[in-house]
Amino acid sequence: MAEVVEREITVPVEPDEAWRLVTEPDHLEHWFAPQVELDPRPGGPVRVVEDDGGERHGVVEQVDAPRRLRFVWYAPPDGAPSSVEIEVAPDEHGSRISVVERELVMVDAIPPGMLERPRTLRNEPLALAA
Amino acid sequence: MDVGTTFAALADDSRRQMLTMLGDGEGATATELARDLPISRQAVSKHLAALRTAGLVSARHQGRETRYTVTPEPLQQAVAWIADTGAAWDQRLARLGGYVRQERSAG
Repeated sequence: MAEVVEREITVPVEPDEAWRLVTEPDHLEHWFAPQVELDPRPGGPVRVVEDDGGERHGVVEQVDAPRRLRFVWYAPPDGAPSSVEIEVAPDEHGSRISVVERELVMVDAIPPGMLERPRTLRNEPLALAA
Repeated sequence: MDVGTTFAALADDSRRQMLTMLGDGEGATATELARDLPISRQAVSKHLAALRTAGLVSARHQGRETRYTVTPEPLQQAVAWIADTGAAWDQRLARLGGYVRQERSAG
């Protein structure tokens, strides 16, 4: 049973350009979703309207320009939150963009002591309330 | 039951092994599980409690024992989450590839 979804694509552009493709709403709206608000700084809001009109709200957690962006999001009002990590790395054909989306663990539903998971996960969904 | 809870319950070798054993035929009792696993009866009970909390197994009283069986629905939800999320990224990255090609030929 996999706990994550991982995908990657190689694009024939330099990493700096690839970074703009994955962080600038003007680019994101060409491929990520029809409407994208994303402020690429820690704490920056994320709001996405998908093709089917469904919304995703979230917050940027980590930015390590021009290589790594991490945000958490969920589908309001009660979708399960997940984290998305997008990485840009140089590749012989340009840049490799890899994506890892991970379902966040609701540890409170499990009895204490039953999990060998980083405790920091406990706080992540709360960041969405900001 | 959300998918995160399911994954949390699955994030343990003993619990995954127990699910495999419970998925065979008629399920099993805690005593039977403890006999076939290298962990104590008490540990088996704790893991069973976690699996029940996550909705992965259900319990049925049978005489003096409780028999546990696998509940398929949360696993199906977990599989569905992976399928839906994977399909969404496949679609996004395919569009990204097309967008880059289009930008380059235009520019």
